Amino acid sequence: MMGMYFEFKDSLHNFLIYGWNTSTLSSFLVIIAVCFALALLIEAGRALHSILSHRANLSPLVYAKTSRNVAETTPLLRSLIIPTNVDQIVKRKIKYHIGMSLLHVAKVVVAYVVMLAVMSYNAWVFVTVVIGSALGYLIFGAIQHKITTADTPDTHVINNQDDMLGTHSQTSYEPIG
Amino acid sequence: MNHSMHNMSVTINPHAGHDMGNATYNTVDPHAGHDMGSGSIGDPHAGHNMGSDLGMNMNHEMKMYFHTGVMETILFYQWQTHTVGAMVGSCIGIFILAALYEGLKVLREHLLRKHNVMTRARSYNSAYTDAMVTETHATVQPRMCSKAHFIQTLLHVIQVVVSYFLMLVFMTYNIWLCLAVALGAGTGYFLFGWRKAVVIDINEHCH
Repeated sequence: MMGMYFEFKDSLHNFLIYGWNTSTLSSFLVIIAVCFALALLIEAGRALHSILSHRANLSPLVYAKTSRNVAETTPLLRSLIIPTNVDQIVKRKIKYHIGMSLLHVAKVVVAYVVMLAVMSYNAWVFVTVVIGSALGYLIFGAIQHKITTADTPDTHVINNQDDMLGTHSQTSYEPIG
Repeated sequence: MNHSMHNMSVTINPHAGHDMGNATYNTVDPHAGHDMGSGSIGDPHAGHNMGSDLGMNMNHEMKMYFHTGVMETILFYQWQTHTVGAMVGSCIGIFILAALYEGLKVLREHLLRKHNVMTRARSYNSAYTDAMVTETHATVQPRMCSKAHFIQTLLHVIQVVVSYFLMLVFMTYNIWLCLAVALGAGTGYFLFGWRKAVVIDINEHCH
């Protein structure tokens, strides 16, 4: 077992899989690249989870699809093509929930594997994971922010109506992503 | 003679599988610690070897790579699996623990939301009973000594402990146990998150 302290070694011994050793610098760099990709994957999974959860909770008025271009129809016309029964909405939500459960399994596995990689106590691997997480958050966090705070015209209309009725119920406690 | 002693200890040592990897270190110093169990200065693995020679872990040494197998020590010294049946039972137990962990997360979020709504409602009510009181509570800060915060703290401690336990189980590197953790988390997320994700609750913010 390796000593329980970080050290800057440029070789890895039995890394995660039996027999996965590095004898040359290039094979070590390959493993470093794999760790970097895994760290990116963690952030990508987190962002994807947030995007899917945002899409699943959209009002039916927003996601109603027709053969015509949605932006060209008036709100009144669009209100005629929303799903008319709750079952359709529930079915759509079930599909999103199953997808997000599978995504959760993938996220758990990748997160634990990265934890085990860092547990090899190789300082290069640790630095790579940190940089990968930072870059992943930068890239995928930006994408996620752009998608989940998109201001579509429909939500704007609905929000204004709520204000006029005085029942503005926008929550300040968003579900934890 | 020292070398022969060293060779003997490598073959009869039940931790042979691990020691093969360290053979290069030990051949440098034939008086290395794993022969005698005493501290050796030059061996960076001294701490581990001492532990194994003192018999603190009577099981096979931890293989730091993914492996399948039935013999595993899980979290506690007394929790050892030697048979397939014991391993299956342990996997089922870990599966349930991972599922309950997801349920705990959902419970905490639900309690937090309920407490926030109740605090807001209470603050609005107090504003109405006083005639034309001008102060309005936009958001009410949760009090440190409130019962709800105390419950949240307790649940937080339990959540931290269970999450570390699951991490340590995954750290056994046993593929069956790792699968149990991952699938248990997915199943727990699916079951406990069902109500919030699928059921359209009119009491929640409107869709």
